[in-house]
Amino acid sequence: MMGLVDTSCDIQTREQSVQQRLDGFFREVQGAALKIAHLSVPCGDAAADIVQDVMISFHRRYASKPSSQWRALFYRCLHNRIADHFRRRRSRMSLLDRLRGEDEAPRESPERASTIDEFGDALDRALHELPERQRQVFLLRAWQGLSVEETALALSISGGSVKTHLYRANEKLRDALQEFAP
Amino acid sequence: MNEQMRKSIVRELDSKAADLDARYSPVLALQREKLLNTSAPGRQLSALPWAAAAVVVIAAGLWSLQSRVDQPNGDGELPAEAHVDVELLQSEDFEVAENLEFYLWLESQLDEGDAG
Repeated sequence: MMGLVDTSCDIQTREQSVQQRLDGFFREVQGAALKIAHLSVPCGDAAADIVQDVMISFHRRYASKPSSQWRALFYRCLHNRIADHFRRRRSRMSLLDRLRGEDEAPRESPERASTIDEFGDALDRALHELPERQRQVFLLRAWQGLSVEETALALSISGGSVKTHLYRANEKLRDALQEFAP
Repeated sequence: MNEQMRKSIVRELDSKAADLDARYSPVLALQREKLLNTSAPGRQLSALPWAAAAVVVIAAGLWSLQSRVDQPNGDGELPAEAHVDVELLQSEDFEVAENLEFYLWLESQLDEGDAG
């Protein structure tokens, strides 16, 4: 009986420890996740909604995985959620277009347009103009410092593709930001 | 892209991420708290082995009783007390068990009446 109680306490302690580590992990990645989502969706509130959904989805599906894989799996959830956001948006837009009979160009949000930081603005624009995959690879590899293997796991692509996308992203960003080069 | 440019980009992205984090931190903290306090990951899964073990123990007990009932004794008859046990367990009517003394007394009274 004592053994059962001890085991039950062990399980509870282990769960609490996982919860604490998860909390720390979410705090650590949420800023970067918000920025990555915000580069894809123009509205900050929508980016926060995406990050919230990703936390729930990660907690449900991957919290029991080894913590060494958490970052890659968290970003996998994030990119799946962003892709899902665009799928829903596309189908909604196509319905609206059909109803209106016109093609509306996407507008910049006021918060994006009001940015006065020139380099930051140019960087956002350059990142926004990169193909989705190149942007994802650049942000995970060059900014978040994920390894080639982790990036490949996060984006469900091969290591070779990671290297190719990173090379192309670097080239495009260098061209787009050359006026700010030291 | 040279190293200095890469560092500038990282610094800029870090700064923007920190701004966003500061703006949405209260909302996300609330969400984290709700998420991590209401459901433990794998809690349901960790209870599964215990539930499975309990089911196995109960099934083994019932099977053992049932096999005792099915095994004839030396006279080729089934042990009567085993029948009572199994019937009680299977019927799930534990009121019978609670009032067993009363039923035994009633039976003895009826037997005495028949004899008299």
